[in-house]
Amino acid sequence: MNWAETIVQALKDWDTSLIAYVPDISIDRVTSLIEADPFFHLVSASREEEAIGIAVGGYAVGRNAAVFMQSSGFGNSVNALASLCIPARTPIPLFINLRGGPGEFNIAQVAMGRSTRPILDLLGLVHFTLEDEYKMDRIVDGALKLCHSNRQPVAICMTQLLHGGKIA
Amino acid sequence: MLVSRIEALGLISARFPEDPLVFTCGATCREMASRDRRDNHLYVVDSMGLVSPIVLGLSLGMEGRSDARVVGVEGDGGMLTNLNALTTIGYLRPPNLLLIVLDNERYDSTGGQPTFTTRLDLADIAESCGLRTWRATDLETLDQGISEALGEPGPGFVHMKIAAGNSPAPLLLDDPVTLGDRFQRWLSTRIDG
Repeated sequence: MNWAETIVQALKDWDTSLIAYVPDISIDRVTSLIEADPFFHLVSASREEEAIGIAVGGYAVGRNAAVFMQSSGFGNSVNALASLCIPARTPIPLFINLRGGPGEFNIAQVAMGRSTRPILDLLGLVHFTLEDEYKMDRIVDGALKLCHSNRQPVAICMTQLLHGGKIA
Repeated sequence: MLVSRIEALGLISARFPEDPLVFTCGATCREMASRDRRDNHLYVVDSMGLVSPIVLGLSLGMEGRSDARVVGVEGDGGMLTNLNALTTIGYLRPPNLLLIVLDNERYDSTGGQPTFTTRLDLADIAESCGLRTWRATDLETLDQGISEALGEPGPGFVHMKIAAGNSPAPLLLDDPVTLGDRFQRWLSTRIDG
């Protein structure tokens, strides 16, 4: 399995069928697989905090939910994480395309990309970074397990080294 | 004479004893919990603007599993915080979703500063996003609007102008885990499979 198929399989293994996302070209390989698979209900949101709210609503009614976003949009989601997910202990996995690393071409992506993981640390949220497919199945599966056992969001940061990124 | 928020909330709670109700933060949650706290209420204690996305997630999760209407009770300030959520709801058109906006043209949980609804009409905006809209100015037209909205597939949008100001109500400082757990347990009795 490639990285995108590995994520899809892990989501299925954890019965995570409601996926809210803000479209992004680098993670399009995985969201395209999700869209084509009847197991999932893929919902496009207009903003990342909205995607978090949709996922929380789905979780409240017993459907495990995950959110896909880009690191620039992670900034838009912080208040929803801090005021809703963390105090209400909602286990929402966040799949974040982490910009600002090796290969980044866009200066406007660097600051938010570089500060995404420090902000997750300040929020007390566990995160894992994927730079290649080595042991990726175990990392993603383990991250989803931890997400549910800890009843808090977990972030899986996907770098350009993993998915090839957006080419300038 | 416009009615107070707490009077409107009392009617809304009484109209939906068997449907999930999600309430916006600040004075709305406090007044609702002090007036008529019920297990089918979810109090979103401090997430401004997230009622609409939460009810959308609930609606999507309940489609085909329940005949319940998912009702979000939002304020004008909260609606303006995440106005884009109306476009998502209007695009997806969940038939089981109803938003009720209690519009006092004020940020009354932060000191009563005026909101844009002093000039702009949220029902017009909702209608342009494809929601079916009703307008209410008193308890009678609110009741009527709710009845008509329930008679048609959603997404529906009931817009009510209410009086400015808050009613005395204690702070709602319950642990959100407890609030969410009570709501989820009740909700699990309203869904199939």
